[in-house]
Amino acid sequence: MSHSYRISVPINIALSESFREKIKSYKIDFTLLEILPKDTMLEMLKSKLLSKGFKETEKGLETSDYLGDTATFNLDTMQLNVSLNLPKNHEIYLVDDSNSDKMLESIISNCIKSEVPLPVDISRNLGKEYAKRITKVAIESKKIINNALKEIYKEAVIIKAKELGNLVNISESESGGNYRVHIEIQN
Amino acid sequence: MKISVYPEDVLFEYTKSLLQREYFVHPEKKYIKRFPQYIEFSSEFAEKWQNLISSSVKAYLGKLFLNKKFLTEKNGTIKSYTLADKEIWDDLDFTFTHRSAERLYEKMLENEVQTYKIFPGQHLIATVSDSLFISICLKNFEIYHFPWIVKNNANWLIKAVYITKASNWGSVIPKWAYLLENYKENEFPLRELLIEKLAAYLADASESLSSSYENNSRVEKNVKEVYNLFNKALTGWKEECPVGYEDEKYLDSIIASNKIIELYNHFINNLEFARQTRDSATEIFNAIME
Repeated sequence: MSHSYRISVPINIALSESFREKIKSYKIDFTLLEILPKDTMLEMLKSKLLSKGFKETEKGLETSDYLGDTATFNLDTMQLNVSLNLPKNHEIYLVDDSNSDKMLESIISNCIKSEVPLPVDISRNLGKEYAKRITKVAIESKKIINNALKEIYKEAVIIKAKELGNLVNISESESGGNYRVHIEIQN
Repeated sequence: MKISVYPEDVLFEYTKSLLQREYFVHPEKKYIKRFPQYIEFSSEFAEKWQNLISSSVKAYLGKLFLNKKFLTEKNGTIKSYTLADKEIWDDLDFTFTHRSAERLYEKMLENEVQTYKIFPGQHLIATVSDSLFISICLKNFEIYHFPWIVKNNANWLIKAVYITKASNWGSVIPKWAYLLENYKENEFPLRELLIEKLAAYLADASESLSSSYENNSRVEKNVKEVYNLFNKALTGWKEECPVGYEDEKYLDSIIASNKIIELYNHFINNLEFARQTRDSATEIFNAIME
């Protein structure tokens, strides 16, 4: 019969310093089309993101999940900063009847005793789950910002069109990953 | 003490409990283990059985297709009927036999005694009408497969029940796709039902993609295959086996009201969006891991 057990490894031993730095902050840049004056567009984007669950903080517009991972959007730089809330310890689950797990346990125990980071290949393997976690947060928040941008572009185009003449018809379509707004105006 | 237990009476009560969706409780249930493997039914039982089938199948169909309008061809024109209209029943053939009693008797024994079947498919022997009654009783519409149902010349209403009850997950090829492949076998009401089923299928397929960063190639392949089958069937319905005057017009309006083209385009867009999301996720993951 086999049973599994876990070892709690301090995060600074489980993951390399450079990796921890990477997952503390991952940045994604966005571009803002200035259909209307930049300040108006930024104001529209801000209120759209606030309506989509972002909150205003000192660092910018922020959203977080149940793990405490955050995505902060800076309107001045149009940059999204995704950051993981790292635990103090990383939990590793091992099975007692597996040779490879026994070997891993002895390496980890030695590293904890001598307070040195785990070998690169092991730490890289453990890092995968954090990389997946930061990817998920980044993709979810990127999706929200892209949707917000899409919505404000549509609103801005309508405002702009109204300045040019009488709005007769508006239609939207999506194909091949492209979103189109078709507006007809009468002068 | 001497008691007399009649297996066919117990079977009758068992079937009634199945139809009422109730747990089977019977004072003589404990004797089922000692029942013979096969029995011959009495003529009194046969009459009672036919009455039970007739009332329960009618009630089931009435409930399933309450207010459902079927477009059917009568004298070269297409008209809309509900099951309350007498005309709709004119061309429908139902042949209920003692087979359903035999199959349900086996099922009853199976539940009480561990039985071993020499021929595993033997328990399926029935007419298509019987299969409908058995499926209703067992609340399982996947025991009998579409190729068997079609081969045994089920009337369109029986096929309509099986299409309506067929599972419709957007990630796999649905069982009813067999009817699209064999489009010549589809009477007009079935064409409408298949279009409705396709609409629900495409909507579910889009849903199954939206939250996934996984590789969607299997879903893409399945949905495209089903959509191609539908287009082939549609061409066949219009060109090879039209039903009545102007049925093309009706088909086009059913397709439009079910938004088939929009739903398919929506699926393709979602697929592209999921692909972009997956690429983007891979890029972020690789950047972190490098």
